[in-house]
Amino acid sequence: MARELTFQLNSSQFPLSPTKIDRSKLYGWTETKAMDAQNVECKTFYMDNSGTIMIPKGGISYGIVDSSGKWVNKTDLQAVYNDGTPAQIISSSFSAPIVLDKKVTIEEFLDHAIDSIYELNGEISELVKLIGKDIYTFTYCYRDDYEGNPAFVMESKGKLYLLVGQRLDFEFIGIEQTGIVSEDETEEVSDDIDFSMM
Amino acid sequence: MREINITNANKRDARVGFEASIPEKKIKFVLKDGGEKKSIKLLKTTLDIELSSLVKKYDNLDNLSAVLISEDPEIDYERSGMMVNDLKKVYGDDNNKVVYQIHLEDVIKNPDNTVKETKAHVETAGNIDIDIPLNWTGKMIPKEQAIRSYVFARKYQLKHVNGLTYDFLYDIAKTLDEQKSMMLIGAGKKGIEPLIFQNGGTPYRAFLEGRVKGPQYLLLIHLTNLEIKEITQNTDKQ
Repeated sequence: MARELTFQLNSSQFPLSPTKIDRSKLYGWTETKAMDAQNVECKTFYMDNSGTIMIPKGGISYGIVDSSGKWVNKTDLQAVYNDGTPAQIISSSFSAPIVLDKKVTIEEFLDHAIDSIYELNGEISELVKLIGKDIYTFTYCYRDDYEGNPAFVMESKGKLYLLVGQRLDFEFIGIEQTGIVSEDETEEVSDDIDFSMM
Repeated sequence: MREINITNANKRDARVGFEASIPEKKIKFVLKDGGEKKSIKLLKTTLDIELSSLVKKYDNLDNLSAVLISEDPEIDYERSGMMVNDLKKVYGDDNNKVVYQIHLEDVIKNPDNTVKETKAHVETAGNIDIDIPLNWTGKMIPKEQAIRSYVFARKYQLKHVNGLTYDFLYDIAKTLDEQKSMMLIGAGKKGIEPLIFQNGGTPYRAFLEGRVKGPQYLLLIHLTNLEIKEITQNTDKQ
């Protein structure tokens, strides 16, 4: 059975199942394959910089070492905030009702880059009426973790959606804060699947 | 900060700066004594001792099973566990030989995993060209509607580079703020294409949003390649 998030608004509780929406479900996707001269699909593997070691997919593992190169187990690490104080665990959003008591403005919502969106399924009609055109926010955590993400619940065309993202810090600027363009600057971007309509 | 060329409602264009905001990580993992950790990559297995190679070497799985009981052909005692860096991706054939001449092919699939089309791969070309300004399309969408229609996954802030561009961008921000709306902007010669920030990049539809606060302004480009809509019934991905 799909996991449920229980939202609480005005002392009523609404258990809903989130279903992730991604481009592949709406538009399909593209698989890029490498073909040889005989039009046979090639395999992918990796080569080290000596050119002598060929490594298949799954042939690499990851580990952690300290400054002297000694092996460190993950369980020996501790989570800290940037000031060095120990971080606190945040419970999974699936473990207890999420109280919707904080709203944001459209601009506050637009200050966030949305990483993922979920359709909320279940008995939504009453919650849709209660939410109306408001945008509610809470901290979302998929599992017990040290860091949650800002999340938003809002209505669109009679359906409810959960949007999870990251807050970006943009600031208002005046005439004194003139920017300097650098031609050498590049940005790392991730490659995602296109809109099917493009 | 990178440079971009953009037009306003009066078809006046100006070169301005744009930059992203990188969210700061609030949590990090350190050693128990507070020291920094380092992540490394380790070699688990090589191509010559992975399963398919061993099956070929010993002809079949039964023979390989017998060898596995008496020996350890699947372990390279010399190299397993060594740290590896700077790995290069290569393509190979079924005999695990490197293939030097390849061509890329795109298989375009429908949401139900059926093949829609197969064609030669063509890398998308970046179209943020400072010689061709981004076009103010005139298509305004209320913010209230925009946030419920599109998922805005990436954002850039436009910034002025001198007094003239301050006036230019401030006026755009004020117009959009007063109308509480976002403006669709387009790229390319016709000014209607989605924005592609670098070669091989993802096309995004872009909307301009402006806010003003006294003499200060905030002008953002919001990028989207996903609509907010229900998943239909026949969209089970295999």
